[in-house]
Amino acid sequence: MRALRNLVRMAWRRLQWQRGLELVAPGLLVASGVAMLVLLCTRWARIESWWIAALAGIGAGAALAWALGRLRPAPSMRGAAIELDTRLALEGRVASALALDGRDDPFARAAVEDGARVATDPAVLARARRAFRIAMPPWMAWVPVAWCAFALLAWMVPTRTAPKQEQSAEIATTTPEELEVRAAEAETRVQEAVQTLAESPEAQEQLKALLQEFAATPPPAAAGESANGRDAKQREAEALQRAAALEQRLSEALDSPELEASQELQDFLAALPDLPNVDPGLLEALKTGQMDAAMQALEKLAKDAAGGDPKKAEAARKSLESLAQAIERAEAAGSKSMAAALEKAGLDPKLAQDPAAVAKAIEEAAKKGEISKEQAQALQKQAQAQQQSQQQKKELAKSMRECKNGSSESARRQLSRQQAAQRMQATLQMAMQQCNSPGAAGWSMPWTRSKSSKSGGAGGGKGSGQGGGGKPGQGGTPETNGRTDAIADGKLANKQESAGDGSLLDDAAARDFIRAEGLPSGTSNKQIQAVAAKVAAGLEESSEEDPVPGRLKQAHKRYFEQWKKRLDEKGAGAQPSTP
Amino acid sequence: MSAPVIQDAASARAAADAFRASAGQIKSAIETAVVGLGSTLEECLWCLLADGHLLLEGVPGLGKTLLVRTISEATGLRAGRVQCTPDLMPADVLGTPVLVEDPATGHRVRRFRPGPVFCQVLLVDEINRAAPRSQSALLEAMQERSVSVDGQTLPLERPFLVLATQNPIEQEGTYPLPEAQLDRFLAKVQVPVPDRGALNEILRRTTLEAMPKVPQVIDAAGLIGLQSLVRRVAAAPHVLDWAIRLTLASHPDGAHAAPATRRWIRIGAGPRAAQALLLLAKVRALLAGRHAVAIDDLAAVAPCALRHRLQLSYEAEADRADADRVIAHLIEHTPQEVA
Repeated sequence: MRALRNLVRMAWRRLQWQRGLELVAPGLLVASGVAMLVLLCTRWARIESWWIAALAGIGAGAALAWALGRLRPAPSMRGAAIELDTRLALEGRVASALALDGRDDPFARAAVEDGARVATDPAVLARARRAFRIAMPPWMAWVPVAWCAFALLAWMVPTRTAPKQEQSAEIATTTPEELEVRAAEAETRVQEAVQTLAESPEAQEQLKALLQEFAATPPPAAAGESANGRDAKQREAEALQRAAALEQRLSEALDSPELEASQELQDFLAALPDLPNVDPGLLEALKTGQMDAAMQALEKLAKDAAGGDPKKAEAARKSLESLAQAIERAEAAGSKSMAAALEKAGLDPKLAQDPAAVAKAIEEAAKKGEISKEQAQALQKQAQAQQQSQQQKKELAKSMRECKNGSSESARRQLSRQQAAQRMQATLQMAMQQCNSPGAAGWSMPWTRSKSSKSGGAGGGKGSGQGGGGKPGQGGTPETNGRTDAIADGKLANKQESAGDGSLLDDAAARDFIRAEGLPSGTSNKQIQAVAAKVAAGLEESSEEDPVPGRLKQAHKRYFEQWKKRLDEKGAGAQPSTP
Repeated sequence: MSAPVIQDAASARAAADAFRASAGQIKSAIETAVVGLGSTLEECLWCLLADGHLLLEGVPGLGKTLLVRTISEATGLRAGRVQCTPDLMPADVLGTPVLVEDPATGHRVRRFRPGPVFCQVLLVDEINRAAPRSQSALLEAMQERSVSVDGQTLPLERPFLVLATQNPIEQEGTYPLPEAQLDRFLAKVQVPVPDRGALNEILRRTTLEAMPKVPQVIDAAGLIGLQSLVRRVAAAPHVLDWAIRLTLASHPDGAHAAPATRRWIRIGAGPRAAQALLLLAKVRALLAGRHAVAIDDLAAVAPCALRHRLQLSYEAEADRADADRVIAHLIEHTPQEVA
């Protein structure tokens, strides 16, 4: 009977092993499949770790094996005996003997003895081992293949990267680090361009070309968005921030006290009355802001004053003295714009003649809450500009008197500085205009549009921008002057054009807010996306560098041309020397 | 041959060997006259040794009557015959009391004249031609092995075996057997048409001047001993359980119903079916030299034990599913091991 039980136990163990393999095989296959799928997903999600996929696969495989195990329970000893009878065609001898063991019945005992005799038969044992041989399930062969596939995927499939930039203005994938470096380089270059703007006409052209390039570059959404929408949006937001910063710097430069003072001086000169004793050419040049002509006229007067002709010298001195006195008189009358601003703020307009008193009055009014903080800052800024302007006027009057002695150097320096300020102002206005309305594109910087829309009421001022088509006396907060108003007016016009084209900026349904530091809220996302796409593409374009520098290309060309030349000379059989 | 005394495994083994030898002799004796029945003869032998009644179904001229007569001759049992017709009366089967004049006294007395049922092997030929009233006259005889007539219950001589035949083709003027009567047949055997070789042998044997004589190889007591030995064969619990589950699988409303049971079976097999399964399987196990019933035995005897006990539905006829196909389906969907 022991032999019978051993035989049944052997069959039972092998059935258990076989069942385990048949549960594990599909589990391993499913585990491999899930692991490959998760691996692809993690790589797509820029996750480098392969073990996440491996763990997910193991979990899925274990779950499947557990589920299959629940569906197919393990065989019992009796089941193994029945299976033994079936596979060896023993006609139930083993199972019956196992079940009837212990019965006090002659036929039952005879049946048990039959079963025991069968179990001790070596032929039956050999057949049992063959019949219960543990065999690999058919699909087990696919498991190593699946594992190899997983290993290949883990090795070959790279982590997804950002779209790299291509030569044909299409946005291809590149790493975020590269994008960061390129953006920083581009920003540096833009800063350098802005700083050297006033000094170099070439730099002005450079900025102009750069901004035109921004506008002309197609939006990257077509390529970048489809390949990698999230990166494109990030890049757009970053470019938007940088462009906003650039615009902010341009605006601050325009609103700087130096340029304010320069404009104040120019307005002052333009308002000079007609002086009969003063050289008409000089007076006209000063009034119209033609500083080159003014300098030539002053040099001529200074030369005449120092010349040998007493009549001419006297006339020149008289002319210069009259001009100096007129400047001093006008300067003593004070700033009308400052007076108007003070009156608007509820302060005494007479204080405009005394910058120190203005500053003190503004401070006290701000403390009392009579004027807002922003108003106080704007008035302070305007007062500072007025103070500088008065200083410049005094120096100008002084330099006129020095010209009477034949020294036109001081006056020349004064006028040159004014000329430089005018150029810088014009260039910055042009840059602002390029940023806001670059030709037929009809788009505008959303932050400046918001700024202009927030501004309003009094302030006044006179627009003198080149590109924006500024109009005098249009809106402006106390902190803005006529130049920014002129730009704002240009943007408002653009806004109206856009509305006329159907791309409404104020589309309530499309209104969405983006997270960008320094940007005002309430800006249409639709417009911002269009602008950001152009700016981002422009930044990418501007930061792009040819991987092979031109000089190296030329060097290669020359090198191989020399090779060809020598080969041609020596013929095909000769061994040429290294050029 | 009296019933052997069996006390240990060795005596059981010896009795089983003797059983197998006797069965072999009976089979050989029958085969001297009956040719070409093959497995049908085997099934008849199972039924004979299991002490059950047998229903033979086959077209006319296949030797059904010859088979019954040969069995009686080989076993030495007294044979009787009833040729069923629509006007057959129960009294024609069971017998009837008649008035007879006592020659000694000159008085008339009632005396019971036994019918053909009072025998050991009763051939009921074309049983489905008899009227239901006459068919039901056999119920008590088949089940109780006794006949109640005129207020008296008369026991039948043991062994008592009813071998009925019916023609499956002719439907005109026939009365299909009711389920209750069908259930009393231990097995239903279909007699096949003989093949070329068997027919050749039939012609050769039956056209001679003298028919071959069937030897008697066993007597009634020996047959009873064999039948009692069958009932001592062991059956393991899982084997009994399989027989029960197979029987229950034929019930369309049962929990163990096989997938096609609800469609094909109108009425399933009853407890007599499980008894028939086990008895026939025990005979088969003994004939195979085993001392315990195997599931294979049950599966082998299932067709003859169940085919007349299943009432098939119209859908089964439409699907051309006969009883044997349905039984094969039941066997296929009855697992040997239940978790």
